[in-house]
Amino acid sequence: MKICYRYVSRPEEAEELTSESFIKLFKNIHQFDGNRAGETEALLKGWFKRIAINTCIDHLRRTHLKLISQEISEDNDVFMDIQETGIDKLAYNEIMEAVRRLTPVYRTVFNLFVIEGFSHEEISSQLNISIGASKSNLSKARHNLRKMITQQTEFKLYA
Amino acid sequence: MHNLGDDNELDRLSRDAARKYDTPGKANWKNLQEELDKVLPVEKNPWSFLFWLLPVLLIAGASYWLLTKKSISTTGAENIVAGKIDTTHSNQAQPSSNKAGIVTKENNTQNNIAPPAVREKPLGVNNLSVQRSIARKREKKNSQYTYHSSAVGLEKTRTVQSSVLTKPPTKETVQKTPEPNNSVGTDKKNNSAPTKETAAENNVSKEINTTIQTKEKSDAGTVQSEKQSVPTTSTYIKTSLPSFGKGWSVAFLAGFDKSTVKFRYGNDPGINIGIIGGYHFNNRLSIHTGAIYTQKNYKLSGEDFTSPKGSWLSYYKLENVDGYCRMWEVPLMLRYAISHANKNSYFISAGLSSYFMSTENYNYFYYNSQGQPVTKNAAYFSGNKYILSILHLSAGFENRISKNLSLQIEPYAKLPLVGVGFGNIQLSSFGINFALQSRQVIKK
Repeated sequence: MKICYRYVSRPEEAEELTSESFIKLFKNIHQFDGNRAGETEALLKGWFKRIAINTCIDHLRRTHLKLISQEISEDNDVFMDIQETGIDKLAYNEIMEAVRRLTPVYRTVFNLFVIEGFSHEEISSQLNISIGASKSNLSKARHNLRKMITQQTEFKLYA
Repeated sequence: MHNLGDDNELDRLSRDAARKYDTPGKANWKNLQEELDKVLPVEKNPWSFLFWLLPVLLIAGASYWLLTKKSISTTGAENIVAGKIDTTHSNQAQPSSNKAGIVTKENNTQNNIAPPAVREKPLGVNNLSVQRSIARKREKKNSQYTYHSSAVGLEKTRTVQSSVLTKPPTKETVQKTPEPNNSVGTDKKNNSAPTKETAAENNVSKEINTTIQTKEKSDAGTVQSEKQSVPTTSTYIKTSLPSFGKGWSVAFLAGFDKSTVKFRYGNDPGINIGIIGGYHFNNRLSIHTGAIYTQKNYKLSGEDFTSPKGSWLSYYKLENVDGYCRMWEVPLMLRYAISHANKNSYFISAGLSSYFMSTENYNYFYYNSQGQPVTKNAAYFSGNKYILSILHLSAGFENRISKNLSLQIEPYAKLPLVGVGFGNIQLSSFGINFALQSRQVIKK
């Protein structure tokens, strides 16, 4: 649920995707090789995480990622001002809320690259985009995220 | 303070946030389960009914047999008494025809195979009371009756077993008395042309033998007077079930097992299926052993589970453990029949059992270092052996259903003398076994 929640904006959507992921897991459980070296639980966890991510990507591909080209051409403000912020005061939930407020394409690329640890090559193949587009989307996602977090922090400090 | 301008710092913060943030609401497992049931319905094992079939058949068979036996025994008792009264009547009514006063085979046979119309005629008050008393006596003792002729001071006796058995009596069992002239015709008639009704009666009263003891012709007068004074003692009843003595037995059993560790948790019952052999020293004392395949389901508190040192489990504090184990059990039991009759008996048994583990499967519940609840499953094919390590106590009821077959119902308790299994657990078992036993009958 946590994984799916990072990729979609609505909680109901995340719940549906979680259920879908579990169904995929149980349908294909025979493909899981639990006898490999290492702890079975960790292996299963990793496998399920991958299923959940793929489910989310499939979902986004169907619904949101068609807007990819528009996102790339979108003109965004550049926020490169290096300064210390009151980030320590931000709760983790607020950071994740900021991530979730990113547009679907930015959010997906950011999640895949930063949180899941995929490379740009993998992301490009997963999302059917070019490597350049992946890098560009990531850069813009970081920029927007920074902006949102800073605004939120400033607002809190002001308040 | 964090430098958000640094990409690495922003990424690290985001990763931490992704790991530690809380999603709003809780996962709807119920919906998920419903969806999974729709997509992947749980398949039932088509052979699971076999585990229940044997106990059910045993119970049903025993119930059917008890009901059938009751009705047959009632009918049999009526027929026997009717035959006996006829004997009395014939003896009393025809003293002149049997002038020698001898109770002959012909008379007895005639009485036993008399048409039902004769037997079912209304009986006098005295005869009814005799009928009841004999029926009661028969039910009470349910064993072979023996008549000692010495009570009437007879010197020479002969035993006549009437031909009510469907199987014709052998020469050894039937010894004919000299036939009086006046009864030869009747005897021939009866023997040569038995009616259908007679055959039916014979089938019903298969298990009944009548023993008649008579005196030789030379003592005719004395016997006549004795007979008149004790008219009904000349007919005796015995059941056809031979009593057991020394011998071997074999029993097939099935039953339910409820296992527990210190009675803290309940769990689904397990099953027992096995074969038990025994040697009976006499009618009361016997020794039994065999092999029982059993599955025991149980749940226990984490503190009752001793994790083997060095295993990963030893690094966690287990909350609780549930699981099952499958094993072969080899009991060695001494059995004593505390109440022994030819048909029913009650017994107690005590002994020691050995466990030969084949499979152990556990679900461990514990909290990991981050305080999150974790469930982990592990299966072991340990093959551990626990020789004579379980105290096995039982008591039961045995009902004999034929010459050498009997049904047994045996509740039991198995108490551990040592810890068993991967977790060295004190596993107690309670349950009930249903068995069909075949016992060797020693011919005398």
